[in-house]
Amino acid sequence: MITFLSGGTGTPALIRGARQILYDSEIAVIANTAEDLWVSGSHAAPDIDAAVFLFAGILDTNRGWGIKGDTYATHNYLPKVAGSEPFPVGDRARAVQIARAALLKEGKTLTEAVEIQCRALSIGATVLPATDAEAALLVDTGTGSLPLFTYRTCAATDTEVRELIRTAPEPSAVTDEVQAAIEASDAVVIGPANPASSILPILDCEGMRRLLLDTFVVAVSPFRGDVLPDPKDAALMYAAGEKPTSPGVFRLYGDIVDVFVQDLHDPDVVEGSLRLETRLLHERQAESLAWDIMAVIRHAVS
Amino acid sequence: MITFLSGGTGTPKLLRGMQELLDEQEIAVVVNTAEDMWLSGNHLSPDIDTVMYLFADILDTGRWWGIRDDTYITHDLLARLGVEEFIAVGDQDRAVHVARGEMLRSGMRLTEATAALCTKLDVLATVLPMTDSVVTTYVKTRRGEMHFQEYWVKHRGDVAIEGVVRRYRQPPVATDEVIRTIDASDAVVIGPSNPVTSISPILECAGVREALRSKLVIAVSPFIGDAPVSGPAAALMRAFGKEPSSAGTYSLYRDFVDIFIQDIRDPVMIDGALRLDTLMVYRGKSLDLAKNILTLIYGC
Repeated sequence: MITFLSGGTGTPALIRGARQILYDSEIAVIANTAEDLWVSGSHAAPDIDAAVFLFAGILDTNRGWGIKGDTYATHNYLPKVAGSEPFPVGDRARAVQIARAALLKEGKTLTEAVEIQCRALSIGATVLPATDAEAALLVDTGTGSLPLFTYRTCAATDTEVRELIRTAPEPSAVTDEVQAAIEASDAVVIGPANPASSILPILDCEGMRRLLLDTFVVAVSPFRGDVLPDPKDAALMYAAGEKPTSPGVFRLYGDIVDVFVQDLHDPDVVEGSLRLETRLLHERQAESLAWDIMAVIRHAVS
Repeated sequence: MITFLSGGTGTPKLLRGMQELLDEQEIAVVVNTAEDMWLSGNHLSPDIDTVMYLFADILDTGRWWGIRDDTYITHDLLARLGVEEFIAVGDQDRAVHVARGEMLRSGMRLTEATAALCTKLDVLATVLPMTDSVVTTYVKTRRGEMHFQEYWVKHRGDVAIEGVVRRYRQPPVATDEVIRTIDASDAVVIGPSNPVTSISPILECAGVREALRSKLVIAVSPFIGDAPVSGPAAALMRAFGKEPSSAGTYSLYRDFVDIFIQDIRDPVMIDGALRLDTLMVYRGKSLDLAKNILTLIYGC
């Protein structure tokens, strides 16, 4: 089995390529929960949903989030009767959020709730939240604070990011299910997601780095020095104390990484990195990158 | 101004007629909230929504609830995900539930939330929840107590009931807005709504009966014989300890009602009651009954 640490839109794109090579039943996804938030009485979990929708075959792969062909009747009607929602929620996506909220209110853990939803959508892969504890992050903008997902989806691009603040008093712990999935995996792949907002929240879960030290880990850099990063991605990286570059990413991940993948054309050099085409503009590129990563893993673990 | 006491179907049909005859700003409606509930994370207030949608001209008047031409995308997918909403919530209707849910979560009173929604929907009439505190109608069945909406919508009233109870933390008190509006009205009209589940909850709010005693009050019976014009009133009246008829209805209202209106077909005799055609099966009938009532209030 291969486990992916996933957040944002980059990792789902890579997983989409991996699905051409692996059976869904051989894939586990540990999804970031730092962007989860309650909105309109329901539970938004963008990184979990992206993975679930992908395996259910309903992900809007053009945007990398939401459900293909979803409608927005409720979302579009809201401004007519009150204020609007901070980000667009489709009618079908809302049903998923409401159903998950109902399960959580019944007292189910997030892991159990996601498992029930995966079964309802007949998903063969394993999708696991990184933790069952409250792990949402707030962006300290200097003048106030915003939930991380709200910042990413609708804050002005020049919004200052001073710091990412954990809402829970102490770091959350990985679940038994996450631990079991990593222990049963041949390798763990960290997709090309922004470390600050998507991957570090997973690595910061208590026990996660120790698990990864004992596992073969391939990490893909989401940045390349010759392409200007998205200003919000950059701001989040600076808040994490690094530049939005491959060396910055490499330093944030530290000693858990066995093979670091950066783009062929990236002028910033990370010593000992594997150079591959990392742009994932269409499915062929994703499949190609996934193929190369699987080859590295097969070579390393056999 | 005229104030109406309203539930979810009978009185709104009368309001449909009144709306065409009166300046909408001259209409105030005090609405039952004992059927409110939190559903799918948001706030369902069926009677308020029906009245509000009526004045906003978006009510589905085929069913007398929900928004006309609404879609049910979220509701349908929820069912596939194992969440059975017992009432079909439309997508636009859900937006109203969400908006109200958010306002109540932020600490607004139901009266304020309703006013905000009415402003947004260009409703000129005054729509007032009977109280800002939480009071809920439950029916007693052999299997325990059941929320009225669950009894009526989910089980379609097809469960034997032994009693009707109101549950609350604090006894409900009518809001200042309700009392002030009644005091400022030329008359109060109780439409042909269910006496047990729609009107009694309003009358039970502290202050309402007292306010009604000093007003001209006109009430329309929802019964013809022992059958209600619509809805589950008969079984509920019995469970409430009242005869399911105009006589039973009258006994609930007699201490404050000035003019009691029965249908021309009603075999039950009540002394001094006025006989009118109360079956508002289409718009014209609503209009006729509304005209007759307005004549009683304003003469000529």
